[in-house]
Amino acid sequence: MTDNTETLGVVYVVDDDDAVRDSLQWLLEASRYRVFGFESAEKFLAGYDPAAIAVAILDVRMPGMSGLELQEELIARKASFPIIFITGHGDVPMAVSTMKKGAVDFIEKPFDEVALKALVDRLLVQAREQAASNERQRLSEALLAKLTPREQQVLERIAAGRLNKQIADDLGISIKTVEAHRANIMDKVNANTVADLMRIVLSGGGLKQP
Amino acid sequence: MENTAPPSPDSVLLAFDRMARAKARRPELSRYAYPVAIALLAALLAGLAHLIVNEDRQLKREALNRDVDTLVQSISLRLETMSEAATKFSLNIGSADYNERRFTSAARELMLQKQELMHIAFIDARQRVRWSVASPGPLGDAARPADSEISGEPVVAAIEHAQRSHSAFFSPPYEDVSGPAGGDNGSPFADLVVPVFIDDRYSGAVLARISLPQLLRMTVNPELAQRYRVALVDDAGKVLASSTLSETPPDALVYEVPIPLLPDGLAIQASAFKQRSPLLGNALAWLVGGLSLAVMIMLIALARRDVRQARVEQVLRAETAFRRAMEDSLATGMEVIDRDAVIRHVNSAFCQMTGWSEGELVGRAPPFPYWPPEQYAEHREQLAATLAGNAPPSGFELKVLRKDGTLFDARMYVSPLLADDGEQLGWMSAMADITEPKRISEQLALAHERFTTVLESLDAAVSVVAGADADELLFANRRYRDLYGANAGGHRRLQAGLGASTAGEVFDGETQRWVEVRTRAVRWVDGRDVRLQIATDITERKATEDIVRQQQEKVQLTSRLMTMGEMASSLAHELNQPLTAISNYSLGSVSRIKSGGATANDVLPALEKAAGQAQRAGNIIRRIREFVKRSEPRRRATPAARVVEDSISFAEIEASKRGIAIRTHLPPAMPPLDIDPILIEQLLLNLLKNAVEAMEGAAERTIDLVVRRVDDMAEFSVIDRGSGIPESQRQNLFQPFYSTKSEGMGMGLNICRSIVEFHHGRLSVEENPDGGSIFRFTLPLAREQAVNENPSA
Repeated sequence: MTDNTETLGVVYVVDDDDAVRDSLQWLLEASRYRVFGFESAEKFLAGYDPAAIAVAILDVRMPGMSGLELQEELIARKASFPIIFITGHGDVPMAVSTMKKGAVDFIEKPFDEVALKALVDRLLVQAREQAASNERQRLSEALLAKLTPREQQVLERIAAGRLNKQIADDLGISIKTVEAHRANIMDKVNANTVADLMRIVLSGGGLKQP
Repeated sequence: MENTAPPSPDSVLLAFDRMARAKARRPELSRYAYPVAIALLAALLAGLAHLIVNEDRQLKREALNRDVDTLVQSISLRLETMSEAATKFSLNIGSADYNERRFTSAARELMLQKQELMHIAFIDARQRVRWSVASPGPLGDAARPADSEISGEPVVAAIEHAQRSHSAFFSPPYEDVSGPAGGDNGSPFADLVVPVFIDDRYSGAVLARISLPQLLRMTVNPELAQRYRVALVDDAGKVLASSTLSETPPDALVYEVPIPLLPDGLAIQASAFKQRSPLLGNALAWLVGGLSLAVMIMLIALARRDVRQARVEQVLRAETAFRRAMEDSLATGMEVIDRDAVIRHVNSAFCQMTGWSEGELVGRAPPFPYWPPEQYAEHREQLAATLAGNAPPSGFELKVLRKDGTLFDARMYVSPLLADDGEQLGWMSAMADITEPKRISEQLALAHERFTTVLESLDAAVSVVAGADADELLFANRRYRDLYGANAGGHRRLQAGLGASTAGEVFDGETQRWVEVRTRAVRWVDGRDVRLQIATDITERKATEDIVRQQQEKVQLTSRLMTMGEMASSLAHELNQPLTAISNYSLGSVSRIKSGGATANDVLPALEKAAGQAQRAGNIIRRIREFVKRSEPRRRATPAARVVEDSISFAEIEASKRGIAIRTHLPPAMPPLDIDPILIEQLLLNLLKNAVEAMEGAAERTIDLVVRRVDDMAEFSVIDRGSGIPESQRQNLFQPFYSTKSEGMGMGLNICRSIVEFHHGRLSVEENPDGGSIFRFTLPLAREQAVNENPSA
């Protein structure tokens, strides 16, 4: 189910109330979103597409796994969809804890159509960006993984803005060796300039500490 | 000699006197000694007396004999003299120049000398008196005148005898009562016959008539006559002459000596007169007798004294033995020191305790061997105090060194040793080994300390009180003393608060604290029945309890509200679901239609679904309605007393805990009310609780609930004496959520008013002129009653 180019994005709706779920799907599809409904968190986990650029609308209170627990699970799986929680119960503390855990927002029933659409769009953008960022990170990590530990050490110091001489002193090697490492690094990660290198480093989410 | 009988040792004491016990088995020999001695002495005295008497008798006899002999000799001599003189006569008569005249004068002279001669005569051979000479003395005998013939047998026989024997011869005595009349003529006589031979031819004789009594008189001198009864007796014992008229008693000492010359049988018989007893007349005898008597008396006295002494000795010995036994059996060591602090005596217990023998202790001066060297100073101090008379009555505590080197703790009590006259001889000490008692008392002290520590640090006030009026405080721990002082007042107050029960919660007005009081009857150490009371301050606990209860109420209320809230929110949620669905379906449909290209068929399903959801919502509403209907109040005829009682029984729990009483004033003939009893009870309870809370700290602690009939309504008044409600707040009272209580939720009065108004009554509040507030509400009477009965004022 990766066909999403015609639609604005994928929206997952998870709510145990059939009428609410069905009607919400009806509402969203009128705005040309691709909506998939699941009547429980478990069913959703079984049927969602991790690679999709999607927003999940979750009912907070459901029998079985609740919306919050589902969020935890998704985080654990590193499936970072932005989540819209449907609340009707004034759950302020919940709001704080959910917000801390990632991209999230709330909406109350009955839905204000305009507000809902805006929210979904916004979050889809976020999702897209997030996906892109994830991809970049993945690539960077793959590249950086090619480096030897020594090269990682050198790269780390380059990223910290140290001059070759300083790096040589730090590591107890000659400047020449440092320069050699530099060349290798640039080569491996496929960077032409230091700026490229930096970008890769940054999007890699930082180096793993040796 | 004796004034009181000596004490006899009682059998108990005797048991201690070995000697007495032994003696009891032996016969008392000494008992017989004295009587024997006295008997012996008496016998001796008797013997002596006897001897003396005998001796005296002997002497007397000898004296008698001697005297009689002497007498007889003198008589003999006289007779001899007479015989010689007569013989001379007889010889002279033969001579020629001898004549009667010469004869007469010589005879007279002789008769003068010898007055026992009565008559001298010369008779011829034919016994014819030739010459007759009478004595010139008074007893002159004229019996033989001249020429009278001598007659009388004894004389004639004597003459013949003399004639034959050619010698002088005395005749046997004969009586001759002739002669001068009138008494004593000198008879009996005896004649001395001297024959005259002239030229060897018997020619007569000289006759001298002797008066025997005269003879006696002549020879027996007065002295002799005083001492003896001298008599001349013949061989038949017949008394011829006697120096005295008295007769010889048969038992007298008699001595008879024949008189020589006189014919046989004539004797002098002398007997001693009864003289004074030789004993009585004998000064020596008196002395001896007196002395002996004195000795006897003394012996008797001695005997008695001895007996007495023995008795006393026995008692003394028994006592001494007894005391010795007591002393030796004492477990307490006794020691006597004299005024110079030298040990004079120790009893066996002392020696046993200290290990030193009597010999090692008696006579020792301080430092004593049983003083531990390291404590000399202390011991010296104690000794100095004792000698100064300052020994404490509770004694000294000291360490004592035994001979074997071990130490033990002892207590010594010292008292002065006084003689009978009060002179102080020294000091007597009693020493007791207190090692064990000391250890026990230390343990006791520790136990007591532990106990006291526990008691004193207890948070609860513990007190023990005795007496019918509970006025004697026997014991109080620190907490009690801190709270109520050292008297039984607090105890009494709390007890009064309990009434008849033995445990409970009491509010103490004086300290303004809630106290949990528990009491029980206890037997005290002196046997009395006393009351033990433990009072624990539970004010905080009660406050906490109060808070908890309030919280609980609030929780209940809240939970009721929460339930309502929850219900409401779940209702809301429930309603929200179909609502949301309808909204979504509708908006979706609108969007599709607006964006064009949506046919009726496209939106039809959605619209239908939306309609269905509306139904769903309707059902929910219906359920709510039904629920509401179920909870609607139901009014029925209810007696006012019932609601009053029920609500008061709940309110009183709270009220009594705060020491507030609720008084009800209910007319006896109150008709029933047309009310929902549950709601009215809630209402009353609410008002009462408000009243109780308003009276926090009030002086008057009474709430009045007054019910009276006003027309066809019942008027309830809840009257409190709290601080009242200021005018400004009174208006806001019934606003929902308004509360003057910091923890109040403000639901109460609003709901109360609703309840009252539901019953078509009125609820109002006004100021109590006596202080506080009056909440008044009215309720309808049950219809039938209202119509029938007359309203009572």
